[in-house]
Amino acid sequence: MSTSETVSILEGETFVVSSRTGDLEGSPTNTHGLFHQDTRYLSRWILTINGTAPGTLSIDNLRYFASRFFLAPGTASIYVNSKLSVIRTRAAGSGFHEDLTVMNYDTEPAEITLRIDLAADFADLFEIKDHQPKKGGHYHRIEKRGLILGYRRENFVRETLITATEPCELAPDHLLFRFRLAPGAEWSTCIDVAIAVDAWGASSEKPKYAHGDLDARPAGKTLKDWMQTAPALVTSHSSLTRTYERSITDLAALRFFPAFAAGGALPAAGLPWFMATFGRDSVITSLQSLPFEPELAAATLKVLGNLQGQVVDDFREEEPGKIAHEMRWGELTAFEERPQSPYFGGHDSTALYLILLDEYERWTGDRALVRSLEHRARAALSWLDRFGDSDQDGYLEYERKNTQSGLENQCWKDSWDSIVFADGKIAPAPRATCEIQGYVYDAKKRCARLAREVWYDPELAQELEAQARDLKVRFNRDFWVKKGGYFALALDGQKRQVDALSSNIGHLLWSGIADEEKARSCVRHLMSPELFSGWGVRTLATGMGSYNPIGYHVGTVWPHDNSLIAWGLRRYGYREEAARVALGMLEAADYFEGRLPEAFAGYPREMTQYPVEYPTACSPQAWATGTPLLLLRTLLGLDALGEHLIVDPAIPDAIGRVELLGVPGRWGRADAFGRGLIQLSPMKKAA
Amino acid sequence: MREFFTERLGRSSDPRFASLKGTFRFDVQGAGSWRLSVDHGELDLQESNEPADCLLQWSDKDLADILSGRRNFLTAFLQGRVRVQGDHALAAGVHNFFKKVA
Repeated sequence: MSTSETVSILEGETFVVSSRTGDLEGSPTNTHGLFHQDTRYLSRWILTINGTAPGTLSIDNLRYFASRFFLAPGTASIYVNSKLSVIRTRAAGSGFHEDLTVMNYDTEPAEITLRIDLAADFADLFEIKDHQPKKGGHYHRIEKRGLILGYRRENFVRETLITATEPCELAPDHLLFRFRLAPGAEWSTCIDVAIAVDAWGASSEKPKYAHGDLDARPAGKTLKDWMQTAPALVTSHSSLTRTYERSITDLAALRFFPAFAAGGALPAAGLPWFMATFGRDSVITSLQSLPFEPELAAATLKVLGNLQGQVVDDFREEEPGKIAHEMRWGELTAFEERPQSPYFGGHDSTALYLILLDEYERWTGDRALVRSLEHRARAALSWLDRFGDSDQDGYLEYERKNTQSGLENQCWKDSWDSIVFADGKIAPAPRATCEIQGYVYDAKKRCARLAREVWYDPELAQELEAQARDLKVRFNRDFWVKKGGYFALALDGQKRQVDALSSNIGHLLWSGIADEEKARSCVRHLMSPELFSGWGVRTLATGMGSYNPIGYHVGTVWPHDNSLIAWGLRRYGYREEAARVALGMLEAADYFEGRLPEAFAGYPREMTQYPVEYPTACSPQAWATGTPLLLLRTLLGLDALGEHLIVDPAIPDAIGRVELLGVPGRWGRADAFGRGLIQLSPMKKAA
Repeated sequence: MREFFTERLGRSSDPRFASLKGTFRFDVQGAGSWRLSVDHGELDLQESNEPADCLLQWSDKDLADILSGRRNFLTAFLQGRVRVQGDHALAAGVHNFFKKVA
């Protein structure tokens, strides 16, 4: 988890971002710190020895929750023939535990003053890049048990407790250790930095890990068990093995156990900054990983079910039946200066939730869970028809109600400038994006099956099927851009077609809403040089007014987007095209050591030769992590039919043999085999 | 307050609790304690201060504010106005019942 600039470790809802010496130099704009539940409990933690900051010799990333820093006085650029060595070992979890060891290799004794400068600003994550003065007061106490740094705003109290095993001078802004080291001797201390949340009634005075304690104790399965329960991949393609193992490992690290939620671990959106419950991201990652780790889907369904909207609340954009978009825990959320308690500004999450509910039952046969969530599903279906379609024109459209801090775009392309006409003009709200209509179509078809087979309500099934049929007819008429031969990105506030050519048309294949002939035309566009970069499908086609190969949603290539597009291509029988998209993505993954980023630049492949990474804050990102898994499903043509696993491979010869052994599902465990028989024809070059 | 517990939670079954199993105790400073037993949709409410899997504590004013819609349950919880002890996962299953319903 280390980059050239920072080292991140995490455990549960705690993470630590430090420099390469292990120091925390957090500021209103610097993201270093010890974080727990969206609050920075330690913003400054700087080590000096005899007044000098040591430099880094090396870093050992021991575990995802622990790092060891080997340090010596001097810096990397100024060589000092140091006789002192320092080892700093840190393990995160409900605060952190730090072991400090200083060794003297001199022939003379050394007088040492070891100082740690410290501070806790208790900043909310949202405050860090948008500096605002704190509204409450900071305080400190020095007690027999240690130093307490605290923050209080009305009843909101957060505290950091710092203790050391060796005698030291405790002050509100530092710890000071003075000792003498004989030649060849070493000195050590343990330091605990524990966090306390007043409201919880169960705060510990100790962090999760203690001295020498580096055996992971995750709340769920251990990493070893997690790896063992995932299907085994056997392939002649060595880098695919690396990408697969990386995805399964990263998925384990992304498991998030929200304290105030039932149902086990669901996938967080990204590490470390999006270690939070997100509606869209958690659902899509659960869908991608369903044939590999189905327990994530079960937890996602339960947790999001518990957070389902109940009332009309414009600040949170909550409505009865709507599925939540994001849940946060910091001060700004607590005092309603931000709406994430939870925030409901995702217009697609509700339909996606229903899609996951059906796919989960089809795959696992867990009818008990699907029955227990029937009332949630009915409320969600009702939201689609009532609040989701606020003007009752038959399409779901969004326009933010929270104009202060709500999202302007409430689809997956949630940057403000993503929904544009072909000429680059921004589409006026309310916006009915095309992929959301596809999700609604799919959700209704799937819920019709659940109504008939699981909820025993054939009338509801018939009604939903009729609604889906009607939606498909209208959609193919109203969204079809005749001149271009593709579906419009959206309808705008005046019901005009937002006529940009975008990757969203690929989602319509996944949903099954496109008529066959129109689908064929869309496939031609998806595989054209305007949309297909050689690595994957761009979010927006070249030639569009807003196209920018490094524009967040207007020209970059998003792996998760491509995984859904490839799935859609298979659905409509475009085996070679699906294989091409999958191969492009898996080849791109090789350049990122098997870990696909959230997005990369949309430059043509022949121009850059390698995928140019788009700078993002989080790595790994959940739905990029799930991408290779869904691509494997797509390549092998895996599906659940009745009690059986269906395998219908369409694998490019460049990948060769693929065996996925022990695929979990309602059949127990089953194996899937495929050989690379698809020879991909050369791509058309960009004009 | 008493009406809230007996009317909102005093029924014998409720499908919204279908995925929950456990016991709750609601302590309202200045009003009393109620203990709710939930078994996959079947409910049993008693006025009692017997121990439970999940304990939620409020002042009567804060709970009244939540029930009237002047305060949100989750932000009140984050602010330290609702104390939750024991099984937090269970608390997640009931928070929606403390929202004002139009």
